[in-house]
Parts: sequence; C-alpha cells; structure tokens
Amino acid sequence: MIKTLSNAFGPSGCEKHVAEIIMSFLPASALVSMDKMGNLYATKEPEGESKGTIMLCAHMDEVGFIISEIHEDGTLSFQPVGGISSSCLLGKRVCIGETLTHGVIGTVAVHQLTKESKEQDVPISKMYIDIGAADATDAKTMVSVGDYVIFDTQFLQTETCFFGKALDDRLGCAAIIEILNCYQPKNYRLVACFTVQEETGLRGAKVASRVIQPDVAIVFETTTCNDIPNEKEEKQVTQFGEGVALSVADACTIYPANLRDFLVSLAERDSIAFQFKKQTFGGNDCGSISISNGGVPVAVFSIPCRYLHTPVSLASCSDYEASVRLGLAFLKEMETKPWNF
Amino acid sequence: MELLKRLNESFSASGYESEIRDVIIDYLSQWYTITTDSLGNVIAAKEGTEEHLVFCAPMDSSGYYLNHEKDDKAYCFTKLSSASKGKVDGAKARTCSGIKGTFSEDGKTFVSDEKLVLPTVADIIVPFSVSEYRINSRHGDLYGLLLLAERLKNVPQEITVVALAQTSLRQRGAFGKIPVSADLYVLIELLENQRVSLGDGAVLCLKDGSYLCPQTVKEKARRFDKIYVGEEKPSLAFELSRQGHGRRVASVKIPAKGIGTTEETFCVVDVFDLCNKLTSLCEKGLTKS
Repeated sequence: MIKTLSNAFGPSGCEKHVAEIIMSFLPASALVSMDKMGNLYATKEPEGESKGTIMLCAHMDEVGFIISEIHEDGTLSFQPVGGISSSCLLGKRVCIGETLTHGVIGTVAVHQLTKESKEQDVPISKMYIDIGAADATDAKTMVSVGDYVIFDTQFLQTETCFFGKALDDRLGCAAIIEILNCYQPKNYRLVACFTVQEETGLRGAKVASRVIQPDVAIVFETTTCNDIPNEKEEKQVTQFGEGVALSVADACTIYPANLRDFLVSLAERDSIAFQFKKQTFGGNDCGSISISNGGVPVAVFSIPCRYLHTPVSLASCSDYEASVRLGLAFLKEMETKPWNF
Repeated sequence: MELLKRLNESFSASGYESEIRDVIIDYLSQWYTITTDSLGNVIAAKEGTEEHLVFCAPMDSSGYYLNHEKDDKAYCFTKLSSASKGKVDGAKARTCSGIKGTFSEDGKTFVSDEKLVLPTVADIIVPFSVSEYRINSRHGDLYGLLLLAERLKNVPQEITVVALAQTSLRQRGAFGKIPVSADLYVLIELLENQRVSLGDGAVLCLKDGSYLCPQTVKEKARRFDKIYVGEEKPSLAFELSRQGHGRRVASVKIPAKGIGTTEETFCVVDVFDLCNKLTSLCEKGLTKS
C-alpha cells in the first residue's frame, strides 16, 4: 500500500489519483465521500449512541512543479508547487502530466560554468525540463502549459526503512488507512479526512474541518529529521528511529498541553516510542483545524523523515508503526475517557 | 494594584494561560457569566437591554519551551512564537509547573535553581519581567480590559468581555467562540511606536498594516485626542474584523515600551485614561447616531 501511495501522481491541486488509490484500500464499513475541493472523507459511525466526532487527517498532495512555458527548442520552464529548494533538482528525472511524460531537469553544462558559478545554487528560473522534444511543436504533442510535474522516483522498502518520494504525507495517509481497517468506534463518530492542497497553505483542511465539525482532531504527518552530520543535537528537529514525534508548538499551532500529556501517558503505558519535536518551524493541517469552529483541540503524530520535499525521502518503518499504534491506543482510550481537552 | 500584581505573577505564555485565566475568571465572575473555549479564551457576558458591545484584549505573553536536555542539566530552549523578542541573557524565569531558574549569560540555556525538582523537555518557560509587579509592568492591555469590565457592570448595554489567548501566534485567539453579531467590538492592545510616549493617554488606531477603522467608529471617537496611523503587521484588529460575517472593530491602544521583552513597560495613567474615555463613550451609547 505504501509503495502504491508513494509512487502515485498527486501534486497540490491534482490529488484525484491518490484519492482513487486510498479509496481502493478503505474498508467497506467506511462511508466514503468527497467535497467540491477534493478532500476525501471516510466515516465510521459508532455501534451505539455517539458522544461526538473524532477527526483523523492526512494530506494527499505532494510538492511538485507546474509547466509555465514551452520554448521554441522544445524545453520547458517550470515553477514550484509547494516549498522546494533548487539545490536538489539538477539532473533529476520527472514525470509530467497525467500521461506521465518523462523528462529530466537540466541547466547549463558544468563544463561551461566558471569556478565561482559552480559553487552557487542554480535558481529554478534558469533550469528547464528536457523531454527530448525536437522543438516546441513536438513538445506540445506531449505536454501543455499548466501540466503538473512530479519527481520520477520509485519506492523502495528495506527491512527498516522506506525510501521514496511524497512520503510527506502518503505515510500519514497509509497510517490512517491501517487504522480504519482494524478499528471500529463504539460510541463516537470517526471521520478520516485525506486533504488536498496542504503544501500550498493548509487549504483543504480549512474546508474539511468546517464540514466535519470535530470535537478533537489528530493529524498524521511527517516532519523534518535533520539528525545528520555537523548538526548539533539540540538543533535536530527529530531523530530517526526514535519514535513518533509529538509537538509543543510550530509555526501555525500551539498544541494543547492536556491532550499532549494524555498522548504521552498512552505512549508510556503501551511502550510506544515517542519523542518531542525540538524546533517550531513548519506547520501542518493542525494550523487550519485548530482555529476552525471556534477552536478544536488538536495533536499531530509526526513521522521523522529525512530529505523532505526532495526526490527521495527516507523514513523509519518503526516510527511509522509507532504512529499507527499511538493512533489506535488513542482511539480506544477515547471510548471511555471524558473528552475534556 | 492588587489585580495588576496578580496578573503579572501569573504564568501566561501563549497556549499555556491557565494561571492567568484563573485570575481573570476569579475577577470577572463577580459580575459576569463566564465561559471558555478550546483556544483558551475567557468570554464574560452580561445581559443588557441596549446595544451589544464586545471588549477584547490579549491575555498571553511571550514564552519559550525546553527542547533538549544537555548533560550538565542545562536545557536548550526555543521560542514558542515569534512574539518572543529581545534577549533573555541572565534573566530569571520559571516553568509552567513553577520551577524557578535562570537563563545562562550567553542566553543559550536555562538552568533550574532547584536541585531536587528538575524541569522536563517540552516544559514551557517564561522570563520574569524586570520589575516583576511594579507599576511599570506587563499586561497593561488586559489590566485595562478588566478595570473597564468592572466599570461597565451596571450599564444598560449588553456587554461581553473577552480575554484572548494565543494571540502571539497568528492571532489564534481571534478565531475562538467570540459573539458573532455584536454592534461593536473594541480591541485594547499595547502600542510601541516612537510617535507615542508613555503618559500620552489612550490612543485610537485608525489604520495599521491591514486594519482600517470603520467610518462610524471614527465619528464617535472624537474623545480620543491622540490618533495613530501605522503599518504594523500582523494585525489582531484585522483578524477580529474579518471573522464571521464581518465585524465592526475599534482598535484602541495603550502606549508601551519593550513589548514582548523582559522589560515591557506601560504607564497606569494611560490605562485609567482609556477606561475613562471608553466608559464615558459607553454611557452615551457607542453605536447610537
């Protein structure tokens, strides 16, 4: 499932293929619907009387590009969709449009660069995508201005790790699908939402939260993992393989302490590995959900992920499993616990 | 001044306002019916037969959280929001659980003063104000709101008093369960600008980086002889004004210095001036023509 999700074509604004894949993995017991923005909902009604609604959320979209111009020589200019650094792009293979036309990101050959310019990052405005077209007419038979572009990366799983594109946030989607397939709420309504356009401003979640009107929400995400050489330990946002990351605050949200303390107690009780995110930069759908409907208690389960928003990200299988386990522990405990966050 | 002292002694980091919220509730519940929302806002309401007026002010202050424990029991920390400004080198601080400590001279770590009880990673800390609870201190806007609430307890208008939580991060408190269809919203905030000085009196803000004062408010607010036009962003007044189906918001300010730092200062004379002006305007009917 994770392989299919990771390989799927789904930049912000074009998530329908990811939605179709998710639907194919959802249990028959979930009521599936979609709003006009493209957010996908899977609802599980309780066996008995409902005491409220819990929202689970992960975003379907990935960072990518959009074709902005087709040049006379058949090369393509492009602009980023979501936050991407130009330093990771040169020489990378990409897929364009729903026909998945192959291309490679190029720029001036290294042999033509001066010593100084070799040291500098090439801006995206000076790069192009080469699809091997003879000229503009030939290129237009394969692609159009406005076509979306994603990295052409094939997923790989080892015993301990996932390697792939768009692990942000297909791992979150996969975690929720796993939970839906093995959990049936007894006395509350459970609504899983797979949102659109997170990478371009948490847009889908703004709508989804108004639709669902949750009493509490958990977002399944990935987060920066920079436990790399030459980075001081206190500057490392999370550490690889050390468990699911819980947040105190980030650039969009201050997380309610009582909900976080409750999750910590569950993790400790069930020996689920967890860590705290050490820095406040970045944001996620919690930023939109938490300020909707007059305020919603939120928490985020983040899977530490190295090299986010690049052609290949790396995540630990055990961190992923920890997020699923903590999600299940939370949902089970919410059947009996008073909802006073 | 007892109220101001209590406000200043209370822990009030954004998102962790429970201590100061208790002080506010304790004070306002003498005259108002109290509710809170999930963002931590305190909403105090009094019935009335005339116009519905809502008065708001932030209750939160800047803070940090401990994000890494070093080997020597010193803790690294990071800002809770970008509103935390200035240096904390050598400043005294305390955690949300009451553990006192000190920021190192280089401002990079926090060390507990207590040997037996240590803080834990994810604890929130706030630096003490330099003057602790003297007249020049923090929470001037909130203090003004609470004094005003007491003065308005018997007016014929319907009054709602809102102490806003989490304003230092993207004005989050403005998204809480604040009444949606009042006749006028008055936002009280501190203002730091070289064009206004401590002791100038309360200031009416006509514009900031995104907020514009409604014409009807301008006409009613001639009592404010000090007018301010600025460019600040982000704007809590703007965020309040665009919630629901749109709100008519008046933005009044109390001159201050060092906002968000350990040396935040205001003058109580300006707070009293603000209360006098707003009380006087209320007695005449703030939204009547």
